Amino acid sequence: MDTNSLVGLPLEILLVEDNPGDVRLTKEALREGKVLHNLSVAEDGVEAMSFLHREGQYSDAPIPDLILLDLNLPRKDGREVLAEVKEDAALKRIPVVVLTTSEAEQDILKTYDLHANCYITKPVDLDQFITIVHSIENFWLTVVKLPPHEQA
Amino acid sequence: MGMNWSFQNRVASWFTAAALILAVVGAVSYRSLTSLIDEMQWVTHTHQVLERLDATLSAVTKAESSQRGYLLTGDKTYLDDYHESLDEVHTALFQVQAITSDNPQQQLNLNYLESSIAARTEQLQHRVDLLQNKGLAAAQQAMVANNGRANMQAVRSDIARMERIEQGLLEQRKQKVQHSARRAILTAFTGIGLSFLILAIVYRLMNREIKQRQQAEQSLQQQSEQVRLLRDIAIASNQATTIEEALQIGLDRMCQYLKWPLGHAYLVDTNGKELLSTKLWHLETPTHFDSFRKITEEQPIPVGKGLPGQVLATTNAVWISDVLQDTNSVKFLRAHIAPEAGIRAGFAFPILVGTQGVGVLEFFSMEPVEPDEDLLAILVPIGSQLGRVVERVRAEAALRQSEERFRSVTESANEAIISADSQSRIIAWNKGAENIFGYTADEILGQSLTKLMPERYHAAHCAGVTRFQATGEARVIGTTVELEGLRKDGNEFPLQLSVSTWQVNGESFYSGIISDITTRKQAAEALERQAQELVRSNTELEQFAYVASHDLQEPLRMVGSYTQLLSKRYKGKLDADADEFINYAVDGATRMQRLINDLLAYSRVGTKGKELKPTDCQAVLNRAINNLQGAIADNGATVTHESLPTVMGDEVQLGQLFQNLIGNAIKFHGEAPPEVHIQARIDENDAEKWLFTVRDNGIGIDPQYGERIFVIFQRLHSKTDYPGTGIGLAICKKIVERHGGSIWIESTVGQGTTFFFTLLAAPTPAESDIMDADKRQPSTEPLARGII
Repeated sequence: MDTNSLVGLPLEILLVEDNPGDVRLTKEALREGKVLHNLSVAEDGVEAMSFLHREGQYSDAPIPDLILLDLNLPRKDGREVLAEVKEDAALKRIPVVVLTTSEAEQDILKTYDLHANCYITKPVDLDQFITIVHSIENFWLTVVKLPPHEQA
Repeated sequence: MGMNWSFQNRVASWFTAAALILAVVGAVSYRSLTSLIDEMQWVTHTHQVLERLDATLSAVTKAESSQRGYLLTGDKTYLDDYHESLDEVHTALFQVQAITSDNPQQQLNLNYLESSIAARTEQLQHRVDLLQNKGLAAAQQAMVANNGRANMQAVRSDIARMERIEQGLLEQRKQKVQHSARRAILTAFTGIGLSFLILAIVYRLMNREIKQRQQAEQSLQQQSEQVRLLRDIAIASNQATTIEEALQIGLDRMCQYLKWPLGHAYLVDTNGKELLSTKLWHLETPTHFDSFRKITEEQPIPVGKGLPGQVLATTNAVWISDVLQDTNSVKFLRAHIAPEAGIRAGFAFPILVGTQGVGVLEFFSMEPVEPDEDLLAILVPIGSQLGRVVERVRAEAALRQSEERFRSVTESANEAIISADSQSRIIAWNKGAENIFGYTADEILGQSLTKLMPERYHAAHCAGVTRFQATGEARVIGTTVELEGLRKDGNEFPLQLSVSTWQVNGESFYSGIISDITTRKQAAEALERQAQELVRSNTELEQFAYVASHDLQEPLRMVGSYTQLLSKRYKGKLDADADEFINYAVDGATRMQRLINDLLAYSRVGTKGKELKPTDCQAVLNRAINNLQGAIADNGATVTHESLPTVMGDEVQLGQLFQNLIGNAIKFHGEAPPEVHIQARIDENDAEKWLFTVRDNGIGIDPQYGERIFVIFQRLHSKTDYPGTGIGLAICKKIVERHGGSIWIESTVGQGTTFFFTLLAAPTPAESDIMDADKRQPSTEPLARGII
């Protein structure tokens, strides 16, 4: 993965989020960040799985280095997406950050049970939101070592 | 019997003593007398000796004078006298010899006497011989010349010596006799005196015994009279059908026994405060007591007043020896009319039911009479006997009344009141039963109870009756059950039944009270439905509040975020109006967010609460204070507390409770820096609860708002003075109530507020041990544990 950085390739982030307002906020927050990245957006679970499996229009889709996943999604919700990703040998190494408005205990437990890499509640306040997105960016894209991409 | 025996014994022993003393006295007297006789014989003896000595001397003298006569005259008759005198001398001497043989000294003296007499007589004989031989002259010559005088003197002196001795003896013996005589007299007197004494004692003894016997007989007689009196009154009491009849018999019989002319009865009035005179009297001479009777009957007596009042108050008999004396312990209120009636002594005793006085009988005598203790002793049983009549008659009246009441209740009741015998045959059927079931009494009496119940109950009913009669095990009797009944028209209806049972001569009877609860049942069902509805709608409402506030947050976050973004990026780049609008939008969104957060928190108290378990308030409070560090520091607040207990609670919610209350106290501070003090005491009204107080020195709350502050969204101050959503205290109230406690305030405006709330105490370790032990119980059996 460091190869990506070395060759100056932007890090691939998949944001699965049905609320365009949140998509835009996330984009804005990431834009203020320092990490070179490429953000793809899937608006529901089905779309997200197609993206990950490079199906249909996503046949050229990049393999994401990080998935930001909302839980409440139309058609196929975030929990199902998480379960499928973590059961798929090709996808399960991709870190999944659950980013949701839910503070429900059962949601937190459930997602960790499904091997989510972390669970973050979207803060109500804009500044906090921005801070959190920066934290995610900083942590997952610079601090941690991500698994190298396997050549498909 | 024993007393008689001992009495006989005592008399016998006294008589024995008297006989013994008399015997001793007799013996002693006998001895004194015999010795006296001896002494007197000795005196006589001495007299004899003296007399013989005198006789001797006179015989000697006579012999001398006869000899002298013979010598002078020569007359032979003198010579005869002379010889006769000599014989007498010898006889006398012989006699003296004989009677003084016991006295050697006198024998010796006698010897001298004999020899001096012999010398004299020889001289005399010589002269007689001279006369006969030589003639008269020679003899006379010899007589003159001779020293006859000297010889005679010797005889005299010898006799005198002997007489002296005898005189001395006589003196001695006389004294002895006197002494003995005195002793004998003394002895006799003593003996007689003693005998008299014993006789007197025996007399007294017998006298006393006889008196005692007489007294005993008398008191026996009195007792038997009292027993008769008691018996008569008891019999009368048993036979009397009215109180008046019994009391009249009591009065008459008492007066007859006492031989007193006046008796009268009082009864206690219904409220128990006064004695009312009855018209019941025993009057020997009716007209004589008219005024006394009139005054007595007119005057009710308060308890404790006068003779009857005192008797009722103490429930003891009272005796007044003389009503005219004022020294009586009890004041006789009618003393002023007593003289007219001639009344002197009187007594009264209570009629008792149990220990309670229900009336008083009084009796009067025309003479002063001292209290008769024996009589006083039987007055209480007499009073109790009469009381029994009162009790019985009243019980009968009460029974009649109660039967009457029962009948009227039964007849007028809306409930069906039905009785059945042991065969379940209906024996009583009231109007209520007719209304409920539709059968008239004529139609149903004698029919089986099963007619009133749907067929499905028949078997159970019969089994129940059989079981109860066999084992006494009652499932329906004594409780209230709800069942279905069957009306005459065949319709079933819900009923409430309570059954009681009673026994007469070993047969069981049953009574049931049945209410038609159709309406009530419908109402109860409706109420139940409403209650369920309410619970559901409440739950739904809470759920709604939660979901709504949760879902509202999502769009609100958008509004908030983008207005903030707007403000961030374009503030100062547009015109002033835009800036102001953006400000308002940001502010509104922020407030709304806070509101929704609080609303969420409020609804979470009900929906997200945890199970209550022992929670250390000390730790909870410390966390709350820690969370408030910012506010504490900003306001320069001091938060103090005493040691806090462990209560049954939800740790998170209790934390929120403390945090809200302390935060509240800090927030509403006055001029002075806020001071908050937290403490807990055992609740005085409920020892199983702790009463917590959170006291501050803040601005205080007008007591009229004491309730309002706990209502959601209610605020007392403007948002600019004290920002907030008005939900914090509502949350506190909800938390405390969910914990089974209550919360309230006491406050003085300008001086501070104290919040009070109660929480259930955690069980003590001992109690929880017991609970644990109870839980452990089943596991004591290894097999059971294995299966579990």
